[in-house]
Amino acid sequence: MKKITSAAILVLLGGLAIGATYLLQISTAERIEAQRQAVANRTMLEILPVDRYDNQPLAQPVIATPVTLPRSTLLGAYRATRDGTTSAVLLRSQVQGYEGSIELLVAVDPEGRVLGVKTLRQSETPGLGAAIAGWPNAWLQTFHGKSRQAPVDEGWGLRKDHGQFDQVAGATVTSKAVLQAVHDALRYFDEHEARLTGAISHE
Amino acid sequence: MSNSAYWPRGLVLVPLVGASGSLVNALILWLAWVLISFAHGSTMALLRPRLTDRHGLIASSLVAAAMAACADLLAQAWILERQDALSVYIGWIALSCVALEYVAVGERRLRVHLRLAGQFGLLAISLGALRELIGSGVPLALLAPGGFILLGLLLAAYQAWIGNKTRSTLKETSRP
Repeated sequence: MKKITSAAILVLLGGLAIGATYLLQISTAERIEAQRQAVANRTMLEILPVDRYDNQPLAQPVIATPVTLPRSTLLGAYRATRDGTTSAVLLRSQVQGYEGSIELLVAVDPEGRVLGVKTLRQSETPGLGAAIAGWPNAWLQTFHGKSRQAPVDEGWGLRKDHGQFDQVAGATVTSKAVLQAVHDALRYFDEHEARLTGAISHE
Repeated sequence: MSNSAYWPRGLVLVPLVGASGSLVNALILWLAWVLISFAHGSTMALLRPRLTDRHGLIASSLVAAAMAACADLLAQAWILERQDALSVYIGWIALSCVALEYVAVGERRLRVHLRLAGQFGLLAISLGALRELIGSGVPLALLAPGGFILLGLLLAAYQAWIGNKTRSTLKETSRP
């Protein structure tokens, strides 16, 4: 008799356990998704000083589809505004690194100078190339203030290629990939400045 | 105390060292552990007399797994930024519950459980605070190996402190 009661309790318990977990999952799914979105937004917007924008830049995409650049892919562009005027443009770029693809966010001011570069995703070698992941990041800060014109194209390279940028120690491929992605992004900004900053409305 | 009673303690070590890199994380995990393990304990107390031994283990695992899964979902919904670091250890709580169910029998179960909750809480707070304090200067303290070293030092200090007390207590606390 005890065996039957015991088995019945077990079945009931199993149903309850699955049911409760399932119900909770359904009812929290929406909230979890919203939270994920909020966290992702926050990590991306860390790149800008908070007093630089008063809109929600990520809700203002400027390009609709990814654009293939010479050495990287531009996944998205967003406009940050303050008091209605464009204060920065965020360019999300993807480039092939040493181990896998690297996703970067490049913030550019309306004059075309780099405000910040942030690694959003990477799978480079731990201890070497993975040094591009931290935030704030000393190496990525060497791009601050640089633009398409300064330095000129020849300067946009690592020192060993007669450029003017230091590399991450022991990670030439990673460094080069990031550098080229930033350069690509700046060139794209330069060529599409009016549209990116909203000086003229497109189409 | 039988040797098997060390099992739940050993299992608690993992989340203790893993999550105590930040004091708040350590506290959240301890709270989750207390809530889940006592909810699991009281549910099992109700069911235990009506279950055969073999079904008891399955029932215990079911209850523990469901509770841990729900806790993880709630953590995702409300403290997502911390959930990343805590997720593994929330799942680990289920293991702790099943172990507790099987080590101590009868009246002793509650005593073992309460004592473990106290020890876990005390160590979580002191280890979390210590690691956060030292961590700004010595990054090793924030990594798992550093956590183990500090835990060892804490337990050694505790042992030295109660050194004058009876030998039996000493033996019990020396092997967490």
